[in-house]
Amino acid sequence: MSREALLKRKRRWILLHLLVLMLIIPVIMGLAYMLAEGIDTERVSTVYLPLAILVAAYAGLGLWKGYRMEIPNYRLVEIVKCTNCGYENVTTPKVGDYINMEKEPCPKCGRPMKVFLIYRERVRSSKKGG
Amino acid sequence: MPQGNFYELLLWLILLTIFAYASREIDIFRTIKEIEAYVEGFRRATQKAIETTLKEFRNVAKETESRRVSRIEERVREMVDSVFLEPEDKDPYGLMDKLKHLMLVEDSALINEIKSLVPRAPKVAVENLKDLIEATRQLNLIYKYVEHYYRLGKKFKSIWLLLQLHSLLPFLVEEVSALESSLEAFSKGLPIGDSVGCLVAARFIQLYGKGEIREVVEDTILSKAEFKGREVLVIKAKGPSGVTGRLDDALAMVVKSRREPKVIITVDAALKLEGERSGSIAEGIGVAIGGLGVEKFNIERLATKLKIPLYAILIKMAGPEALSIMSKEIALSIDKALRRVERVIEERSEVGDTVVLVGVGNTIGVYP
Ligand SMILES: [Zn+2]
Repeated sequence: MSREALLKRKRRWILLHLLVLMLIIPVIMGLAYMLAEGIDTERVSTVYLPLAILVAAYAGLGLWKGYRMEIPNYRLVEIVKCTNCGYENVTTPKVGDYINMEKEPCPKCGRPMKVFLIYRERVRSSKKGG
Repeated sequence: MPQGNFYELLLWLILLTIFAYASREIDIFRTIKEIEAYVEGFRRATQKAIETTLKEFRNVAKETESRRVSRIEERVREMVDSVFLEPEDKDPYGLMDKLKHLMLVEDSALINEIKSLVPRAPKVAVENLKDLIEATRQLNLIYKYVEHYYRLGKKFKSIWLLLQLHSLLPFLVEEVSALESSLEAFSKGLPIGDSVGCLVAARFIQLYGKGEIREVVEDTILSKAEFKGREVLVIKAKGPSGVTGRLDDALAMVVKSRREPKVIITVDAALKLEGERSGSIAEGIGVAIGGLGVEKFNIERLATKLKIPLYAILIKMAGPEALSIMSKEIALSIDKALRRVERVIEERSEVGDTVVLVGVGNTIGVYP
């Protein structure tokens, strides 16, 4: 799946669990209040309080999972190397670049430099930014 | 038996039956929903592929001032929808020759079609557009087939059909994401994971080549090199456009015009298993070439006729890795693969022998 789609999914996941958590917290507080004050004659809270806490825990876990969801991010690397002295220069490849393409002359010895490698490297994104 | 207990039992039985039925229905529903999500994902991937292809066509057309842009969309959609009909194999005699003929026809038809749309485009751009069209075509095919089985399963409420489709989804997702990521590489013309075989051959030419590089067959080059007293003939697709070359024809030419090689070594990317590391290298006996099997067959036939041993060096990678821009792990494995090639040449041939080294794969972004 593409990066944008993953990002969208992450956002939706976090939003959903946050919503559930925000809805369930007042319920827990209400039930706890009923239990503490002893106004709960039907003993509703003893059944529903654990259930609500369970739902809250589940939503919290989901939120944490969404927060930690890592979205792979890549950066492109091009290594240009001098064919004579081995001087290396790391840049970003431009469209149309290819391996063994001749580039500007070497700043050290003036001989032609060639594209040695083009690859993509995984960037460790900060967990927050995704 | 008291009356109350009997009714209770009956009620329980009814409830259980309903529950059993409902659980099956829920299962079907869940499977359908999951497949639906994937079908939608595949549809989006196909749509994106078509858009990327069209954008690339427009770019090329604009750069080379080739053609009215309006007709391109219609023609590209037609090209994506066109199908390759495999030859009849009830009588398998001569099947590979027929297959090869059809492949060459398809190739040149597609190239001509693209050239007619953007006549002034350079060769590299045309080849990359062709690769884009092929990736899009494959995505479209997967999407259409999955949707077909999904609709069929839903229409007949066939849980077995749906479950079969469901169990295939992980493999299809792998393939779709591979094709999806190939779009970026093909539109930018940068090397992909599958280019690694060609890259190893290119490095070998750079290190030990004698400078002479000839295009012996269309899109395929032959270069002479010398390594530890052996004459090494390196064959690979030309590049840097996205072509795979005609390696079997080049090899046949070599065998016909020179003395017989003592060893044939093929280097190619291979699919790794889930537990294997990307960029790990394996040696093997045989010909390492993917695709429809025509080149593999021809090289095997040639080598068997002349009793030439076939060795293979495989660079392992995941499916999506093979078609997306080359990953760092694979790029770092090139040197290791090269050492293996050198070792195989040293160990399995004598000084003065002729060895053929074939760099297999799509040579996009790799020259010579
Ligand atoms: Zn230099």
